[in-house]
Amino acid sequence: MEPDLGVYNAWLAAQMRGGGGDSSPDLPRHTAAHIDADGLALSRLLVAKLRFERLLGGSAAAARWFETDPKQFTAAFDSYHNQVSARAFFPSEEALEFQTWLASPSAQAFGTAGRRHFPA
Amino acid sequence: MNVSVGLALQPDHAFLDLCAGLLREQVDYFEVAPETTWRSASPGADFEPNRFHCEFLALGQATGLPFVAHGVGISIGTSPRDPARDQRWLTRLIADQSQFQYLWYTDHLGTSVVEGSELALPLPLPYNEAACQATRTGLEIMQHAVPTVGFENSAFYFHPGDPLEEARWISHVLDHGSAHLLLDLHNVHTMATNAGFDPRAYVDSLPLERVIEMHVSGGSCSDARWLRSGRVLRLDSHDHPVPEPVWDLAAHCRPRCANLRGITLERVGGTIEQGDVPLLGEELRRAARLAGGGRGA
Repeated sequence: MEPDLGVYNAWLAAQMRGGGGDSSPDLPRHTAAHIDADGLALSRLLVAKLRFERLLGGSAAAARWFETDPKQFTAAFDSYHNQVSARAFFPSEEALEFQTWLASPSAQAFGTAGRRHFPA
Repeated sequence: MNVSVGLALQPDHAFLDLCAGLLREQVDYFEVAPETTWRSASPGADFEPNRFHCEFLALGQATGLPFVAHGVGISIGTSPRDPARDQRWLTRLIADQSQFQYLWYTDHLGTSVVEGSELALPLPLPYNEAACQATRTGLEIMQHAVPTVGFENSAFYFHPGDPLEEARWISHVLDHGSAHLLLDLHNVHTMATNAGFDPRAYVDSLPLERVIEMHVSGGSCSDARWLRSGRVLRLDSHDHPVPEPVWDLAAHCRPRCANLRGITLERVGGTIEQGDVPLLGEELRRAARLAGGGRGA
């Protein structure tokens, strides 16, 4: 039996956020049996990659940060990606979302670097 | 019916400069992803034209060649839909249609907006009636901007069922209504390579008489370090020449695509240099021979 579309969408959203976990609904066994775990992981990776590229394309400051300290910027992006649901379609919108997050308490670990690259 | 050959325009000046000769002499139409010609001043604001909007239009005016639209953002299969998001797209598309006069408008099968999250990557839907209705609704929305619409078989990296069942489900989606299929042969090749099915069995289950356009392109492989399993998967990255299996698959389908109107070559910007241009030209000529006509044949 094919999954209810609402259940499937909830499962898909959870999978793309971070791989499921307790909050992810179960798919019917017939459906779950077909899901290629590597393909699912690759899709999650590509979603993150597209968002990363969107951010770099929309923010010269982010691009500079990545150029000067790729390890630190990548860590900041990973935190951002895990904490903030993707709501932006265009690079400029993603840049605004990132800057807002950077100024929030959730991004405290990156505060110093963030203020250096994104001065008020 | 004469079948034309097109090239997907990239919002990339280096690409446009390198391909200038090809665009003037070897194609019959330009394919445009409308979203690549827009910008957004602020979240939720109406989309505005960016510099490529007028550059692509100027190319059309200079050559007298028409445009087709292949979108990357309306998210055909999203359910429930966000009316405000749809209106944002339609407002811009309707305005664009008065200028570009797209012959047809396609986007990707699947959903790239899930529970409000903008994922950008088309993801598969279950092969059920609810997803079928969601897809048909998305196509109806697209028709508000351009009357002739369709969807492309996407390159999914996982499947909520037997992948061959997807082809039969696609037939069911197209059963009612006037929508078309953009048959992307590299997407079939990519999925078949990764999932281990016979690509001919997949395309033979499709309603090939509904194919309005074909896409041919190349791809690459993922890095073994990307996945914990170390497995390498084929990617639909449009960054390499069209491989022979894709040409073979296109030739296998072509005789049964009675309503085919165009074959489009896809190659992303940043993946070609001057030395690659002759090969791109040869790929366009090969597409023209497959089409049975076209300027470059």
